[in-house]
Amino acid sequence: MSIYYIGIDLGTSQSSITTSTGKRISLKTCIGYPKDIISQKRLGKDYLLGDEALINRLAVNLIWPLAEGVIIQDEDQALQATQIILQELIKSSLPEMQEGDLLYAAIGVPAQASIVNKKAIIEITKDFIDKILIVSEPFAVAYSCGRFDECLIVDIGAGTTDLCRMHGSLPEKEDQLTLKVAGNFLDKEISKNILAEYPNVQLTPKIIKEIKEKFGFVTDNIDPIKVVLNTQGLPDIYDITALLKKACLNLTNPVSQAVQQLVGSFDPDFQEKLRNNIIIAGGGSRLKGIDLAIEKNLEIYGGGKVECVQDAEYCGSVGALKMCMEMPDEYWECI
Amino acid sequence: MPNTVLILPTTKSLGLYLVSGTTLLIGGVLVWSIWQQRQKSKKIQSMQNKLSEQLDNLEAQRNKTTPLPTEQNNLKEAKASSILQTSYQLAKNSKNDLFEQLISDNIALRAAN
Repeated sequence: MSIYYIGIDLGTSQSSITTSTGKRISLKTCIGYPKDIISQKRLGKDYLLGDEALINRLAVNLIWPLAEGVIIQDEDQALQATQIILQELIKSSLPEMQEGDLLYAAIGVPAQASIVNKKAIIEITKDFIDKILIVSEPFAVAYSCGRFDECLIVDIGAGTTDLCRMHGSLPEKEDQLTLKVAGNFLDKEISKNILAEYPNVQLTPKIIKEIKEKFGFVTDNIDPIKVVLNTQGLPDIYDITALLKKACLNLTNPVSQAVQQLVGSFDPDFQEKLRNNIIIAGGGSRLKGIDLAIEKNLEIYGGGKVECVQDAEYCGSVGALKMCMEMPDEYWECI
Repeated sequence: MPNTVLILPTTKSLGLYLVSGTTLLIGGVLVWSIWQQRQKSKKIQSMQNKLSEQLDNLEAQRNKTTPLPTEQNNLKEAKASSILQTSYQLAKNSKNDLFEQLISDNIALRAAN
């Protein structure tokens, strides 16, 4: 009998897993069920996951079971979809696991996820995870960076932006803040700005996501961003530089305000230290110049130092795994 | 043999004078540099002797002051190693405190209605 440890970052848009066997897998948190008999026959499966579901999205009913970082409540389908996604993530990352082996897991959830939601995760995983720890996602990021002293973690995900103040102990409720201004909000802003300027272009969530991930920026100096978009099927080149910057600033400004809110309500003796140790994680940390933009916004409060994590995709799951593996057995026995 | 007067041309006599002068000068310089070298090596030798004497003195002094392995000294060593161990233990304990809190949070979560 072997014990396997896993760390999972269950995100609205993307989920990732890191295992004690050294494997890491990332998956879009979506599932697609065939629309009808024909599509089921063509696809040959009961459901498709992640990118496969997105590629075949015209033939499936696409479900994103998490909204704002938590499982959509009162929807059995969302619970079942989350269960399948977690099960598949584990199955594909630990193929060597045998019957009788034990699986210990830590799952990162948004800083202010409700008790109901956390319990829902415990409930849906009880059949395939032996011991489970629910941890706040920014805390998992802090653990991954080995930063428990005065620092501020800003985890910009798709559904939520989680801020968490670290001060050498487990963060409490007042140390954490969750904003609904995150990646999906940015998608809407980009779409809104482009359509306001070019009302006839055809946009899809996939096109917007691609634009955001490839060109998203908040710096002052950047080459013009020109993209090819269709208008009634006719491709044309559109300059979206100013529109994109405006949309991205709509994300960074509230984040900077939230940073200051958490800094301002902290012990005054440590405020400067906190402001000079801000760590940006999550998909939002990939926006070009986000660290400098937040630093600039903090200038009026006395300045600050912001850095982005190196591995935005796996930082949370690595932290959760590290926590699992470092926790002594006697603690595991308690749950 | 009849008296002969050796008359050398002026240039030749001047040449001879110059050659002998130069030889004398070079010889002088050589003697002076050898003397200088010997003085230098004497000086170095005396400095080396002085240095080794000082080192010997230092060694003797150190041997005189090396503490005997007394109980007190053993205690000092033990204290130093315990400080090291304590800082390690402290880091470990603070992590364990963190885990303890995390576990109790998770237990409370399971118990919550």
